[in-house]
Amino acid sequence: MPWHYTIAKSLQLSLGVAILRFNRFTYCCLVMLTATTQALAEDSDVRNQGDLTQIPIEQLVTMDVQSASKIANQISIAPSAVSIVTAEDIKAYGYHTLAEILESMRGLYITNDRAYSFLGGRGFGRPGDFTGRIMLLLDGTQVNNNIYNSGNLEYVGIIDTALIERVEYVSGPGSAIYGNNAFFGIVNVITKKGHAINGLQVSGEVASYQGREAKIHYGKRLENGAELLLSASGFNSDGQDFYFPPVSDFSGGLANNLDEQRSRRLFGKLEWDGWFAELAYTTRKKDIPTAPYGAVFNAPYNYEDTMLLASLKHDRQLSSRLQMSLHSYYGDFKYQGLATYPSGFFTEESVGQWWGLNAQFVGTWFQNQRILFGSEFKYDFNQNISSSALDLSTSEKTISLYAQDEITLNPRWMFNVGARVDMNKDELGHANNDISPRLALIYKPLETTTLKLSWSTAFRRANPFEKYYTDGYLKPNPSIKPESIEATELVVEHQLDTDTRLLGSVYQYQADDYIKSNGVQFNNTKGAHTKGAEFEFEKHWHNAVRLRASAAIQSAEDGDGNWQVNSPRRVGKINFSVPLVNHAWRLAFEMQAYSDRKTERNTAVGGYSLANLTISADKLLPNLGVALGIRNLFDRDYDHVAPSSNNLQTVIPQDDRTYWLRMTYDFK
Amino acid sequence: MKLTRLFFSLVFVVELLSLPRVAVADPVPEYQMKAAYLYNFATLITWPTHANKAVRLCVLGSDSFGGALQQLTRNSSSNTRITLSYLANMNNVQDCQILFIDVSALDNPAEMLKKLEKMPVLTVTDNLDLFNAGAMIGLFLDNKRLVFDVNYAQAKNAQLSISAKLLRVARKVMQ
Repeated sequence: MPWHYTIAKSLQLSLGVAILRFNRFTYCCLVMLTATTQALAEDSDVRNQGDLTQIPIEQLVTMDVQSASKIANQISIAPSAVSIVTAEDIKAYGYHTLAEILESMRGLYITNDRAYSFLGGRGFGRPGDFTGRIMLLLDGTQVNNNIYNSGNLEYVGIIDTALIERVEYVSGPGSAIYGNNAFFGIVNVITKKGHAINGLQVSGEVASYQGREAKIHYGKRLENGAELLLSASGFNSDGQDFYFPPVSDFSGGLANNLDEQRSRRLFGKLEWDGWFAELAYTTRKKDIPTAPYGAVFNAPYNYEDTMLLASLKHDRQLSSRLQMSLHSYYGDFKYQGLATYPSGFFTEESVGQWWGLNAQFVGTWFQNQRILFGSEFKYDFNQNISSSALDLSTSEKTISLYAQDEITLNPRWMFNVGARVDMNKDELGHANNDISPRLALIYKPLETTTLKLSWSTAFRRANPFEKYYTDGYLKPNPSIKPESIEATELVVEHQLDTDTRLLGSVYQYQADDYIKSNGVQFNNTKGAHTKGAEFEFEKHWHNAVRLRASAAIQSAEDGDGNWQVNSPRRVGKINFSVPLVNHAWRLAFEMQAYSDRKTERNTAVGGYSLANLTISADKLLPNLGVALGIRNLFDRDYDHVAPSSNNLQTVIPQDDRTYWLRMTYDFK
Repeated sequence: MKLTRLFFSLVFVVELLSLPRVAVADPVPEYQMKAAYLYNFATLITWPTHANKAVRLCVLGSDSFGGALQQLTRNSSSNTRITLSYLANMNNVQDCQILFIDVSALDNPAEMLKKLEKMPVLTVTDNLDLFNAGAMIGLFLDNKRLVFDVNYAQAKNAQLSISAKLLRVARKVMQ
């Protein structure tokens, strides 16, 4: 044993005796001291690739190699439980929207009120809750707008699913790195590289209810390594007529031709030598058949949402121990709504615009520490809601500082400590400062098993809609405080082999000053409490058979101890896909089951299970791929909980069995 | 707060109990090792008309190396310089010294390799079907080690001279 190691250990032991007498400040110093002595005492075992080329081939052939796993590893920054859906799955299951992708994930569920799709899970997910309280990122750029905090998931979603390389859902508060609105978790959507398309690809689809979709993608890796990806797509659907009993008016309860939707998307991305430029645009207009907010039934009611997101990133290795990532972004959101009231048409428009700069660094000066730190400035320069009852124009600025230290104590133990400070000021001079810390302890008893114990807090400031919206019926509340959440979670991950993965999680959330609407106004309410457990199993076989199964149980209560609205106690999923006919075809089957949910009217809507089937072939003919899908295979009748603003419905019936057929042609 | 104290105490206990690290080498990630092998091929093989300029490594198909190939091009501490180029098709393959063919380019291997016949380009792959179709070097995982088989006849046909040092450590050499 080296002499300096012996001295370090003696120092630790003598200091250790006096542990309990020291205050917090001394704790920190002692931890840093021991971590550093530990680091200095150990021989470097970190092998980077540069060293490999120094080793002669005679020695290389005797070294052990870790084969690359077919199960994806996370990209997102967080010591939590991560679930990943890859492009392979998106193709096999034929997912059309982000909502369908998230619906297949552990513990999550979607609620569709025939206007938007809302994400729920782990005790959150009140229908009609625009915020969702989940931060949605596109290649690391925040999608949630600065009016409603919504990150849209269905055909309003910012990205075409054909362009997605993977979707990562990181459960648990993420404000320690990502700041405002990473309340229950983050969803990071990562797009494909140009060479994944490698040429020109066109695709056309027909679906039930006169649904039709057309897409054109172009992707290329240029000779110098630059990657280009371009895409344009459009979707139209006539929708259905709905019968909503009991509506006593001359229409007999029939909402006629009020489910039509139309959406368009444009996308462009260029990656080159440490530079990254991306532009995403989406617009969708949909008719709403449910006549919410007391509107006239069976009369014109529609929403039009448009979103533009631009991002420019530059990654650079400043020195061998310091890397930098600069990120500038711009967002532009517009919403237009039209409703019919006895007095006539009511229109409203919201515009949200923002830009920001995020400078992030990773320093590896100390042997076993990976220090991430950065600073972000966000300027929400335009937050506008206008209607006949309201003319709101406001803005806000936020400066943030964040840091995270990943300390590898030894091969088995890692300690992760981080925090973010967000200093926000709105146009009227009101300041909101929030600190979000996170502590995590990671233990690897075996090479294949990881335990993560974490404690963190997150926050969400009230958005302009919650603070200022009024239409003569709904009242504003400018003095709402930010809501906060404190979470404790234990995650266990076990790799049975490179292609089999088990994940388990036990968690507890305590939310305070929870922002909720009582039908007339948004207020801070007494804390909500959720506790639950989740389990996930994933396996890839060598014959290309894939299985993913998950189960989640949760108990969500509001501040008064009542069961939360729209929070099923049990959620189960299974995804299974097999190749057929000598790998030329693939059959993919998925099933999702949910237990009872409570409605806004204090009744309960029954649980249900939903099955989807997709059959696809990559090369039906040279360069021609085909996919056929059946959603709600067993034609079940099932309902989702309606938002409180739907005075005519308590539940919203969902679609019967539907079909879709897609053909894709590659020009190579 | 109480929980913070608990964490710090845990850290302390952990540190006191931690044992000195035994110098057991961690297994090397598969693609980093493959990149290192490609580097060795570049240094231990001589091309007929190329003579000591930068070795051009071309990739046909997906890049599953996760940045390891880019890392090779930045390695300035050696005599052999490597440049990297990605090919969308077989058009400029004659400008390459090494061509790595990924499994994703497995459209028509026989036709692909026939076009390369006699060309002084070292074809390397990690896919068995491509190697059997006539690629010169195949990289395979065998019992936690990365091994390589050499189709010596093909290489000789293309006038590539493979150092005895390299042939000695190959798993199989096909004459």
